[in-house]
Amino acid sequence: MTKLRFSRFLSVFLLLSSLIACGAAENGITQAPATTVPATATTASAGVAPTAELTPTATSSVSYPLTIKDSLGREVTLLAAPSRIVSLAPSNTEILFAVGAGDALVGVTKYCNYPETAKSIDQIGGFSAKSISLETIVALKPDVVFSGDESQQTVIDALAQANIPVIAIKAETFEAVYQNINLIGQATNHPTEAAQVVADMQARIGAVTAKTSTLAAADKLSVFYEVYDEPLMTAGPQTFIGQMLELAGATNIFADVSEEYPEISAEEVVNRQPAVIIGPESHGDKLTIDLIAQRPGWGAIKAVKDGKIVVLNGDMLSRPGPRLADALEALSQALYPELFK
Amino acid sequence: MARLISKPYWRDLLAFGGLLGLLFLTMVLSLGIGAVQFSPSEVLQAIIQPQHPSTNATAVTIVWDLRLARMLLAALIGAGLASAGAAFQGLFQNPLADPFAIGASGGAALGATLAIVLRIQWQWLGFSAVALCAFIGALLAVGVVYTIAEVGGQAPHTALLLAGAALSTMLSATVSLLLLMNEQPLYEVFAWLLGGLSGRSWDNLCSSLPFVVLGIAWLWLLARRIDALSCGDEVAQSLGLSLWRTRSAVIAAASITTAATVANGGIIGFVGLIAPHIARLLFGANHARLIPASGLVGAMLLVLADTTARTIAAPLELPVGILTAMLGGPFFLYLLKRSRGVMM
Repeated sequence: MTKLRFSRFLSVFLLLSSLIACGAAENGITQAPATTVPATATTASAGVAPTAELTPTATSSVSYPLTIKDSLGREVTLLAAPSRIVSLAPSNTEILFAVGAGDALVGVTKYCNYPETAKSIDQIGGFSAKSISLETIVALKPDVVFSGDESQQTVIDALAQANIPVIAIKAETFEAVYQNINLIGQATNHPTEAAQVVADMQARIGAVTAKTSTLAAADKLSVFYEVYDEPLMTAGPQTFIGQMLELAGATNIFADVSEEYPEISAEEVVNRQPAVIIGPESHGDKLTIDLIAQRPGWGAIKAVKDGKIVVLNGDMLSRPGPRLADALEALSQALYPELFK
Repeated sequence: MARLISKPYWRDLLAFGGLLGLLFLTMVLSLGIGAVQFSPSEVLQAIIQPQHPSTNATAVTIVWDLRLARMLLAALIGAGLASAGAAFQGLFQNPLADPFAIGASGGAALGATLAIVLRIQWQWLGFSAVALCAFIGALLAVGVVYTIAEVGGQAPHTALLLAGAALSTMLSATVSLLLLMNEQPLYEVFAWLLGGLSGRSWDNLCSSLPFVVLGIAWLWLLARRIDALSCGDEVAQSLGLSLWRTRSAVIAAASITTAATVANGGIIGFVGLIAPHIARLLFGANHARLIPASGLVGAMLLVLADTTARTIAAPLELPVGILTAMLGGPFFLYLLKRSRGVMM
């Protein structure tokens, strides 16, 4: 008689995938004096063109009260530049540090492990709504909380009830990440640094794609990205990993799936013969050529025969923040070292 | 097939032969279906003559390395769950009893979750750490239920079933708590709880095999006693059976079987509940026939379900536990309606 509460498991599980949030981000910033920033249409392909509308003026300081439209379309008003900030997602924490607002962080999740100093900040719980401690957040008296997406809706609502401003941040495209960085820069009174972070990212990503876009179709490597080994999971084309594979000039052997992180059969991997196998270092069992070669039937895969197994930092690859540029550089250099000599 | 009530010996042979033939056919077809399709003759050639120059090399890799062990494990697990289910239904005189009736699933779930969360690395007899912890957890949970329900040298049915339900609920709550505190391995645990044979191979088959075979054989040897028990305690006692010893033996045999299947397949529901009913419709309620027949039906059901699980949403894999419930549920309801509720 299994009376396991699957619904509960599922709801918690869904939060796992919310590091890579879904839905198009529509951010707008209203300032007094009002300069409304129109929401830029997001495209499925990762935008590498700088968005002119969001480049702030040289005045580089924000005037408060500031009304912001967050990723969930909620209007949030900040009365002054926040000096106590809580972040409910590792990607938010990385953005806050990148734009120079890290000093104001007073609470983070237990997964906020980058940059190193983030580890010494007080923890408010995990990433799933159920594991976040509201009381801890309230006790920290934050001026603003940067939350994740709808998966944290219960937390967002409860904090709003307690009159704590919550700015929800989610992204599923590179374009949306740039907007989020600018939005967080505006909200924390670091607009110039934010614009600089975005410009750097765009320049670095542009430099990579300038090289990888020259690859002939025949030279593109087919890649199997292994998210997890037990169960065997991969990343679909809509995830950041999937988009990054495309930008790096690789062909995802599972570009035909519509799920974000589907469980796939080993038989299909063998059948689709990837030239390279890539996986995160934070994998269940460490990904090594020996371990993979031991799997039944995997010895017949081209990538295994050629010893082409690449291990990368999974956090960097999957967090919609400033390190996406680092991730793309690492990925493309691992795939096409000769292009980047 | 008509219900064979007073069956002469040759009709039994014929019926079992037919069931075995059907199982074999199911297996060969299952081996040919997947990302790459093979005809039954290609499958048989890949199995019988893997080295032969005329044999398709891809077929050999895929059939031998990826499909054969998994298919055999599906058959083994199906057979184990169904035989244990048949024994429990007889023992408890309860058509709703299944192999997990007395806490095995909760114990296995907690064992597996602990192994995954704590990244335990023990290995023993070819069992992986997760399988081993699930195996031990299932046996421990059943042991606890048995010890609690044992009243004055007797283990009354109701007490056993209630203790099993209560313990399962407690253990499931513990699993939920562990997962709330550790979000990282959540999907791994979740996939395990839904039951699945994805990525299973020869090691898994070899570690479960001796326990399941031993368990089914032991249950089969106990068949006459289960017959007596399923007629009620007074009847069994008047036949001179020691109730306590017989019950203990049946519970031990069925639980070892269940624990060994759960270890490598996760919690696959429904097979252990419905396969005995299908077998009972075909072979009657005599346990000497019912236990092996349930095993064959269970094997066939799970091979079918697992083949569906790995092909229906290709290239994705579905957890087989979902499939057994979806395929088995309607069929079971149909049987129930046809037999007007007379299931025992």
